[in-house]
Amino acid sequence: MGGQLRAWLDERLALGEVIEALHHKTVPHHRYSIWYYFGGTTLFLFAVQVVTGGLLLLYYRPSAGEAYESVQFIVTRVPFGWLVRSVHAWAANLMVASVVAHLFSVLFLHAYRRPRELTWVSGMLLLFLTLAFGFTGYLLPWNEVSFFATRVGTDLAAAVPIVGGSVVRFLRGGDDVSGATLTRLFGFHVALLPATATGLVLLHLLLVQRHGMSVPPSIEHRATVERGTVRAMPFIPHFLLRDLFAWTIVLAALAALSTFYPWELGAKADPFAPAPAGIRPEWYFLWAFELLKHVPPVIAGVNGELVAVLLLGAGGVGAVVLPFLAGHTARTRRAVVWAGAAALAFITLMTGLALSAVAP
Amino acid sequence: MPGSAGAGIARFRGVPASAARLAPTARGELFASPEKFPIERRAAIAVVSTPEVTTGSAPGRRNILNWLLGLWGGGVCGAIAYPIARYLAPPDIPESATQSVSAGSAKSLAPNSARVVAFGSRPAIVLRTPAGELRAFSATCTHLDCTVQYRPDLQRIWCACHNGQYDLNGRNIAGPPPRPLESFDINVRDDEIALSRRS
Repeated sequence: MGGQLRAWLDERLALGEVIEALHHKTVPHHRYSIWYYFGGTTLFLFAVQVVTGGLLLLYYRPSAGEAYESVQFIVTRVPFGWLVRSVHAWAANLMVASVVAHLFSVLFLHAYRRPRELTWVSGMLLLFLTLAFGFTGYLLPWNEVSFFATRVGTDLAAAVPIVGGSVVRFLRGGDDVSGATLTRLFGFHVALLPATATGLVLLHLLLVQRHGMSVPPSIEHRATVERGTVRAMPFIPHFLLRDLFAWTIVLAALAALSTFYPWELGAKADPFAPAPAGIRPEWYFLWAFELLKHVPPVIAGVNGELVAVLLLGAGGVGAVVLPFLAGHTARTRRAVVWAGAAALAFITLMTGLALSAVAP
Repeated sequence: MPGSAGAGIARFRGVPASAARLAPTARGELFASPEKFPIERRAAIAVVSTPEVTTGSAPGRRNILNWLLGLWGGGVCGAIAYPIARYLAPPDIPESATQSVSAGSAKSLAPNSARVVAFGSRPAIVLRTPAGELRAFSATCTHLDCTVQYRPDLQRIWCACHNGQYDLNGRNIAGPPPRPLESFDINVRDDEIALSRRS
C-alpha cells in the first residue's frame, strides 16, 4: 500500500529525483562547520513563529480598545495561552540572535563571495524583514513601552527630507500613533511581511541548494597546498541529524525561557501619559537607541537626526552590496573582516552603554 | 561531462530555455553547483533558446506589437499600482481645531509639580514652578515624539526616552531635543485652569 502510494506520487511529482539529489548532497566538514547550523536554526524559529503566530491570531483583536485586553485574555484565560504568547515573544528574540549569528559567520567565513552574491542579498533582506517583524509585532499588545517605542521608531523617518512626513503618515496611518497605527502594523505583521518573507526564504534556500555550502578560503587554501580535498559528510543522514539536534536544543531553550521567564505584558498604553522612566527598546535595537541619545541636535549645520538616519541607511546599503564590493582578493577579504569586526565592536559598545545607563 | 552537452541539446530542443535550465538532466543534478554546469552546455542552451525568427517583414510588425504589448502591460500595472499607492496613504482627517481646554483645578497643583492633560489629540503639560507660577507647554518632545514629564528633583521637564531636558520656560537645555516645547497661554477662572494656543 505504502509502496503503491509512493509510486503514484512519484509518477506525478517526480519526487524521486529530488530525494535522489538530496542523497548525493554533501556538506563540507572542517573546523568552522559549527557555523553552518545557524541558518537552519533561524529557519526552525521562523516555523515556530508561523505556528505560534497563527495560534495567537485566533484570540487577538487588532484595535486600540481591545488589543491589550485580548492579550490579557490570552495569557490569563486561554489554556496554555501564556505559553503560546511567551514562545512567540522569546522565539522572536532568539530568531534575531540566530539571524545575527548567521550573518556574522557568513561574513567572517566569506561565504558571500562569487557565486553566492544573491544568497547574501536575499539574506540581508531577510534580516531587515526579521527586524520589521520585531518592530511591527512589538506594538500589537498595545502596552506603554511599545506605544512609545513605535512613536520614536516611526518619527525617525520624519528626519528624511521631502518624503519623511509622508513616510511617517504611511507608517502610522495618520499623524499620531493611534488605533489606526495598530491596525496597520498588524496588517504588515501578519500578512505583508510573512508573504514576502516566505518567498524570500524559498529563494534563499533554493540558492543554498544550488551552490552548496561555501568552504572558507583558508580551508580551501590549505586543501590546495596539502594537495588534499576538503572533507565532507553526507547531508542524509549525517548533517540532517545534527541539524535536528540543534533544533531540539533551540526548542528546549525556548521552552525553558518561556516557562521560567514568561514575557511580561506591562501597563496598557495611555496616549496622554508621560513616557515611563527607564523606557528602552528590545535588546537588538538598543545600540541604535543609544546612538540617538548621543547624536547632538545639529551636526555641522545639519539636523542631527538626519545625519544618524543617513549613517544607518548607508550602513544598511553597504551591507547589502558587500559581495559586489569585496571578497575577490585576499586583501579585500581582510578589509571585510576588519569592517565586520568594527561594526560588531560598535554595536556591542553601544548596547553595553545603553544597558549600563542610569536615568539622571 | 562535456560529452553530455550534445545529448543536452538533443533533449531540450524545442523546450523553453527556462524549463531546460531547471530540468534535472542526470542523476542528482537538480542541485548541482555551477562549477558542475559546464560552459559548453550553457552555450548550447542559449542557442536552443533563441526564438526562430524567419519571415522577412516581420521585425517591423513585431516591434510595433511588442511596443503595444508593453504599453498595455504598463497601463495595466499603472491602473493597479496607482489606486494601491493612494490607498496606502491615510486620508487627511481634519484636526479638531482645539484652541482651548480645561486643565483641572489650579489649587490642587502644588508648587514644583505638574500634570499632563489632553490638548486635542496631543498631550500638554501644566506645571507650577517652585516659585508658584503656572506654566503650560506641549508635552510632545521635539526630539522623537515621546511624551515628557516634570522632574521635581531636577526642576526641569524631562523626556524619559532619550534623556532630553527642558527648563521651566520650555527651552531645550540638555540632550538631543532640537527645539523648545511650544508654550500655551494659561487663564485661571474660579480655580479652573484653561489652556489656550498662543495666537
